[in-house]
Amino acid sequence: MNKYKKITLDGIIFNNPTFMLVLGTCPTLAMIKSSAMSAVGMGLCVVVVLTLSNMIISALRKIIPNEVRIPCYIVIIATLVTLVQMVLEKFVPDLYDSLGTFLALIVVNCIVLGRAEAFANKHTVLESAVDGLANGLGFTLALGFMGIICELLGSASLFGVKMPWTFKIKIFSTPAGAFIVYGLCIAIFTYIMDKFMLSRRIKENVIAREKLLDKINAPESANAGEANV
Amino acid sequence: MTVKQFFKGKAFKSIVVLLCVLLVSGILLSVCWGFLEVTDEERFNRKINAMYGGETVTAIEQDISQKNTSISNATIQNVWKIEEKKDYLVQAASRGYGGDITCWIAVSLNDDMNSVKGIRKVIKYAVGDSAELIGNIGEEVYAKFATEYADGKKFTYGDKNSDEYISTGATYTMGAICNCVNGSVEFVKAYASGVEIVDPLEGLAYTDKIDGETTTWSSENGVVTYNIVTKSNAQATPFTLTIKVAKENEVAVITEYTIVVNGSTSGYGEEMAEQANNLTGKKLADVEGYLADTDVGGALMTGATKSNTLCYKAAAFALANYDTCLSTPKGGN
Repeated sequence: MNKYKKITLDGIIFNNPTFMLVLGTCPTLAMIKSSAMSAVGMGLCVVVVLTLSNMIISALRKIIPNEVRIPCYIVIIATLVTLVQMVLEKFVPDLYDSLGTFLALIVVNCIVLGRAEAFANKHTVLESAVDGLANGLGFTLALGFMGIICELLGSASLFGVKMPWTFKIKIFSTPAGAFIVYGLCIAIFTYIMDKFMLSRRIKENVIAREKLLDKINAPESANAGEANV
Repeated sequence: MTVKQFFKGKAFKSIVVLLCVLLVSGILLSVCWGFLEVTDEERFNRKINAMYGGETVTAIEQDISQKNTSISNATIQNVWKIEEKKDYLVQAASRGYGGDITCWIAVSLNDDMNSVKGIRKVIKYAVGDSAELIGNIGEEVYAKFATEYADGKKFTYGDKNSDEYISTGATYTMGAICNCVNGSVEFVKAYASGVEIVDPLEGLAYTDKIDGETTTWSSENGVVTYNIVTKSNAQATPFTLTIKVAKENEVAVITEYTIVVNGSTSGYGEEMAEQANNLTGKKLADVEGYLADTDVGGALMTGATKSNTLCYKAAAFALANYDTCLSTPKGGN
């Protein structure tokens, strides 16, 4: 169970594809400047594609020869993206319109191919599914968070609902504003993660030191007992 | 390598696996396409729903093939009659910054079905280039067309020199939408009342960048004085030019070329004035030569290519149509 918890936490927080690995930058910048809804929509599409592609690639990892693995992965990912496109156009046309070409560009999203190459072709189907889901959710949360900031500042609205104030800073509805928000978010996230990792390391060191002291003290007390005797 | 070795080798296995993956993907997509295909009719109905808030309406396509469909810098692409609403639904396109902007405009008619009552709704239909900043234009801007319509009004929300200008960060796109709305209303007015819209520049040459409605000319003592208003050309907004043309040795020559309103982007103002001076004394063949000189650093590609094109096209228009304009002056529209 611990293994799945680690995969999940890695995907969402410790190796977050957007904030920690800075992958999938192109759709990130394009979507967060549009609206929070588009950003979350894009994130959910990536969740579906990433989870399914990880599962299929993991299931076929022993069949696909190493020499043609990348073309095979691309075909699998492209098929899944095309399917997602068809489903969106049929059932969620507004989201399909708002995602535009960036939906098709999921095929070349570094996160999807990166997880296929780095994780799915070395792990079981279940582990790969959890990894795909976690990384996709990490991507979605990051996009959603930045999308909310950009929409609030740039359009004075949230998920399309107008806010009571009309104050807007138009730059946040442009790629330049998206860059600023993305950069600041990376900085803040990295700072928080550094602090967290440092405190965790200190905690681990304290525990290790106590254990070591216990080990050192234990024979001494045993020897003292012998001397008393 | 023998044939047997090839079939047992890694290369063959790789080819087979790759082909199998392709085949399965292809079959899967084909099957799914059967269930998930969105037909043109479905797309059309979705847009109609967006236009009329989900109400079922009957759209009867009108034959406009014999009509003049280039009006107010917009092209009328399709027109449908919506019987239930006494509307004409117009699909019009106009050039934005990076491509054509296509809008749907529902124009309401009075009960007599001969005159325009107002604009019911304007929506974006398609954008020719994903780089367009059309997302900057909110619903409240589209709604203004319906609420602020008045008979004879020309919308100028995209024109920076206008009092109506709305700062959206997407000036060219906004200008294109205004063109679509203005063109649609004008078309419906004429179409509903059975009047033919006559192209004011019909039969003249080099008209593609000339605004036919506002361009005028007069003649006196063999000199044709043109007051030319150009169309916009990507970043370059419309120029207003006064060009005088007279005949010298049986050839039409520009005797005066004045830029009244400079439509070039900031930083190219002086360059345009210099170009205006250079055009004085030029013949049509010279101007055609400039228009064909599309090499980098050539007459056209000076850094203000779009503005240059407008100025040269206006000069070509003035020179090429000298004889016609001498005999048929055109007053203001």
